[in-house]
Amino acid sequence: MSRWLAACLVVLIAACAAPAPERGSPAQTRLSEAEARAAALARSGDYAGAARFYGEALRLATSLENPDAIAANAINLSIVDQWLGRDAEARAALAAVLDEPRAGFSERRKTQAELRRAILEAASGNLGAAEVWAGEAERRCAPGCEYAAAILNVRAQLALDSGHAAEAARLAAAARERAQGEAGRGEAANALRTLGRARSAAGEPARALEPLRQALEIDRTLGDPRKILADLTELARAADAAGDAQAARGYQERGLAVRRAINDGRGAPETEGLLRR
Amino acid sequence: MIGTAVIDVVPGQGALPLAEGALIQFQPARGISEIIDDFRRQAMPAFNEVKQAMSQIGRSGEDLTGILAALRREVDQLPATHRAVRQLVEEATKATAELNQQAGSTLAATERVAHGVDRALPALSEKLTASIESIDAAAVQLKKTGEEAQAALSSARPLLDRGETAAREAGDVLSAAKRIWPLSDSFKDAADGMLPIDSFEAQGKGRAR
Repeated sequence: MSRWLAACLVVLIAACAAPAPERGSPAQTRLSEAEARAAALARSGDYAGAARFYGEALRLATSLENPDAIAANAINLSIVDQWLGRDAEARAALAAVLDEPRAGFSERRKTQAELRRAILEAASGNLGAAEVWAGEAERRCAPGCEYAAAILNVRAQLALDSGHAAEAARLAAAARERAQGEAGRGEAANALRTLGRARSAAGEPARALEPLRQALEIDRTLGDPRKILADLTELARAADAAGDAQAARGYQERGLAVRRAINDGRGAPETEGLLRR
Repeated sequence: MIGTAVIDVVPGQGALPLAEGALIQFQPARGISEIIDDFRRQAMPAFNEVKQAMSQIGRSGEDLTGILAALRREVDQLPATHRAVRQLVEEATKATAELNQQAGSTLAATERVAHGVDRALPALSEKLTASIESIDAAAVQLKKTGEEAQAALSSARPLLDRGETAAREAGDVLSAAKRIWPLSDSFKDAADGMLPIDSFEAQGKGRAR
């Protein structure tokens, strides 16, 4: 027992003493600075600025032949480009990883890039291409892979968009099971939302309400207005279809308030139309 | 045998025998429980201050830049605690070695008197187990504090939308906190600098951020 304690203490001391990894050369320093600046701009909502610095970081990483930094910055660039509505640029950014099989990217980075491409294609309505890329990511995603739930969620959404509600519900339930722990809460909420939508689409709106409420609860904790709005919109539809007009109206009013707050009034007519029904 | 300790009296180097009625001073070694108490006394206030500062971030109407500056100061002070903790851990290592010797002495002493082993060893074992549990509890508490700090910073994101400077300051605070053990273990690192890969954006809603 005392040996165990001593070993723990040695580990603790080692943990205390471990230095943070540092990058050395001027180019590496510029790469770190570009990445940090891009991340700060993304956090502050300046996506155009973030895209500019992720692009710079990608250029620097390429000049340094640093495959991990190339992949990370290409994927981040694709994310902010998608946020900006630049789908073609987002695809082009991912090509730095997906079209360079000899560049020595890790399996994890390849999985991330394939998943991102699947998300991009699905968002653009290219369901077939999205299926292909989601399948690639799934094949690469080993058991216990951190992106298993996200991949299943994308496949569930594709099934739902293709009119296969039962398959969508099955995949969403599987995604919910795989989305564990604190890090998996976002995907857990995505899974619950898709499960609710699938049940509504299958003509079971009353059974859709519980997973949608759970999704809303998680999304409010996570603090993402886009997801809160999506949850409230689906809850309003499900409650309305289930015959609970009062509950539906409550969700619609809450959704309208969130939408107005997000868009500062723009884009509210869709929800207001629902309220007038 | 006094409590769970055994005093093994060994003749020293002195030539003269002790006078009758002389007093032998007993100076107990600093035990692990005392070291852990010190650990708590020194580390917890610092972490509680960080926690309090982070909780302020969530309040509307606060001067975000001022709060972040205060938070940075608190985090910068943590290395002092960090060093103190290292010292305590080193002391704990010594105490463990002493405890081992003590166990050996206990065994030798009790072997000599041919009984008492059954009483002494389980008591030492309990002492060690309790110490380990105390260390675990302290580590869990600190980890929880770190997680709460992370949650506070996450919930502050809408506020950080106010400007790049604030965002960079928050990033600096987070980076500084991440470098400090044991906070560092509490931050789930999207730390390879990755933005979230979120299946929600497959619905075409990503751009509506």
